Amino acid sequence: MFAVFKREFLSYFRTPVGWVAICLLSVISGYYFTGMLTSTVAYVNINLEIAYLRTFFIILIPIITMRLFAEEKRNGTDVLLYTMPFSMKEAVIGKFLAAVALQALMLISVFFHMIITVLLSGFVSSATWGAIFGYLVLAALFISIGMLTSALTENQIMSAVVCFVVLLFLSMLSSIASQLSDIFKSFLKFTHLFGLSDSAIYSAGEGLRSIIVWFDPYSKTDCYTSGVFKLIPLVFCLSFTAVFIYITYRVLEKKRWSQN
Amino acid sequence: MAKKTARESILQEKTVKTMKPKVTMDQRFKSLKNISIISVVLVIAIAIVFNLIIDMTLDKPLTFDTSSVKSNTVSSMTADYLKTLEREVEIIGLFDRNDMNMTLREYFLPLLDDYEAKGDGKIVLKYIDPEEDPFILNELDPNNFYNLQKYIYVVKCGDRLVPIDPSSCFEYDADMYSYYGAWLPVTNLVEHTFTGNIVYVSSSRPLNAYYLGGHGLPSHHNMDTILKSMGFSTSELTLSGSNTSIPDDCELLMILQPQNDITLTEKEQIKSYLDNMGKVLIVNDYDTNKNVSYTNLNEVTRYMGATMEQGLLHENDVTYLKNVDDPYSSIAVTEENVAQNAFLPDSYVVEKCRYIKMYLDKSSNLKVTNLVVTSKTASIDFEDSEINSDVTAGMYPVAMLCQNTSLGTQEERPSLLLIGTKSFTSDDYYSLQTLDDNNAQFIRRMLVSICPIEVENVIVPKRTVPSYILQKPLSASSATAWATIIMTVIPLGTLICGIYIYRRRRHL
Repeated sequence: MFAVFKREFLSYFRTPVGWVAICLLSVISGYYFTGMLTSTVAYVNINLEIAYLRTFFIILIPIITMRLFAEEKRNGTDVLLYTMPFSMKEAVIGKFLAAVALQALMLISVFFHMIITVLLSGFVSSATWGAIFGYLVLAALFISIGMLTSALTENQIMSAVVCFVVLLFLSMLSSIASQLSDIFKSFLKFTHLFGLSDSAIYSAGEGLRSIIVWFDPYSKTDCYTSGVFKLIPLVFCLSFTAVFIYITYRVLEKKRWSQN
Repeated sequence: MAKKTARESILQEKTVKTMKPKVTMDQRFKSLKNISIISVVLVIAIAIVFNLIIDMTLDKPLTFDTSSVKSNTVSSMTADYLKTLEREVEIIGLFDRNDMNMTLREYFLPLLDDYEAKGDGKIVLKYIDPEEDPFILNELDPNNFYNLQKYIYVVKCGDRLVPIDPSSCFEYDADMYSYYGAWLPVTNLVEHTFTGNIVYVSSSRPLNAYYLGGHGLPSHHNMDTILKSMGFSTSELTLSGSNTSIPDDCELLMILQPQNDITLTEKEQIKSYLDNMGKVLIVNDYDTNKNVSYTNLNEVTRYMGATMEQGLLHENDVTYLKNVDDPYSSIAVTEENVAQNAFLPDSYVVEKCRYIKMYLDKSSNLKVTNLVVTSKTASIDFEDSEINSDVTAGMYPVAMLCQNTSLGTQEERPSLLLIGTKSFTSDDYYSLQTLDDNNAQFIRRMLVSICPIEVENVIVPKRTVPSYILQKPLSASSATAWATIIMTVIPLGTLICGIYIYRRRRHL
């Protein structure tokens, strides 16, 4: 597994992908940070910067993950994966960890900003570390999703597009839930199905919304940026990360056997 | 023929032999596919069930406050009080919990979760967006006393309800506001405010407010409604005959638009009541009783540091007039210093306001605060033109708060709220307005501030808000230098490094 991790992690830096990703994140975070630094009041809160960076997962994660398996297929090196003297699980986990490590490395610009803030006698709260932790946990979940889309498709662009669409959907889950809840309420009201009262219809709509929002990883991990450490978001992200890694493994296993 | 047949049979056998493994592979592949699908479905189901179980059982025990000043956890004082709660208290946030437009939400959401967790079922926390459920506003406040709106919290227990504007839960940096116009919170009063209001709404002790009768008490139906909505029960008190004392349970004594002066006995009783941490509201306008001399009543107000004069406020600034032809019907504003801390409405309607002012010979332990004032160019009209020599155009008070700072704690100290117009209390005024009007809001907030019911028993600490302002502000040139390094040097350096390595290694 370490061999796969090392090969994959270094390959990010032998191609432009890793450099471009780091450059992109440093521009985005730098833009937000300098905005705070040069504002009239000079109010610098790194938590807000990290919360802002989370909105760019939909661009950064597809860039990082699109090549994980799709490129192996394009280069014809996927056969090596199936025949190397290590299990497919190790290959999948090694690649996943390499992508997570790159994502963590990309936060180097944020660490620079924290140092600058301290140098200028600003305040970096303990909640900032919580925010970074939440950021990485969420990134791990999204990387596992990106890895799955990469395993499912044979073209890098297609993989990136599918991953982008899935992450976009997840980032809009709360508003989608509200829309669906409204539609559901209007439907129940219009059709008089089950003869429900107004308050019961409202409760049903809200129930539907709550169910959908329960799957929203963004709102689940919000607490980390406000100085609260909760186990629930951690368990949620890690368990679903494991689920997507497992699905990726099964997809690759299927491909391995279908080779014959 | 026989040989051929044998070869054919061998070939046939070979074909069968080569066919057999293919069939086996297909079956293995199919079974692998089935196992994959079943296992994936199973793993997803296990993940969901596992998360649900953790969600239901371990959410609250495994929540930790990592904020620097522990602002997400209730203090031991609040926790102890919550354990003694006997009635269910609802805290309702009138917005969607996930709504990022809610300002300073990070100071409210986790802390209120902790209230619910430590409330042992007695604190019920809900978030209801009035845009999603428009019935909620009417359900909470059927008479629209409080003008409930989105992004407000409501603390409710039985019939008692208190709206909490989140912005009122902080003290702000006055310098930052005056220099930059920015509201920068410096003190966090969220727990202080919520615990105080939970104590207030859940209090089963009756709150008694008395109107002083016997002096032509006007109809006070709307004032009753305002007071009842705050948990007061009201009744009329006549200090004559056998009953010459103010009851011990009197939380608030109101003297509204007296048609004649109070008696000597009443004067002494009221002064004695004030000495005993009493709270008095006096409304004495100029319109209906301009020829009455209020010698005794004035002695009471002077005892607290204010005086009432026989003059009528004349507003000279046309932008403060409701009607340019009527200088006695105007708009008054919250005094600038008070406005920064008290979260009172900006402006009020004022009609026929009596000239009230700070008593010059007041005792030094009396603190007199102008709450509502006229424009800076108002003047006074006197019936007797000889006595206006000391009065020039300027800013005059419409409502004043007089407190004796030498007695009791800040919450307990004797207080007199003196108002020179009937526009804040009379049925005449409210018959044309609603009870969520600014004048009603002023009365409500001032009464809450001078009658903090039982809150003094639960001392909740104020917390500092971590300051994210740079202690060493950057000069313009340093800011440009930092911006250049952060926005250009670091990203470009990374990119150049990447291009260099890529060019060196692309043929490897």
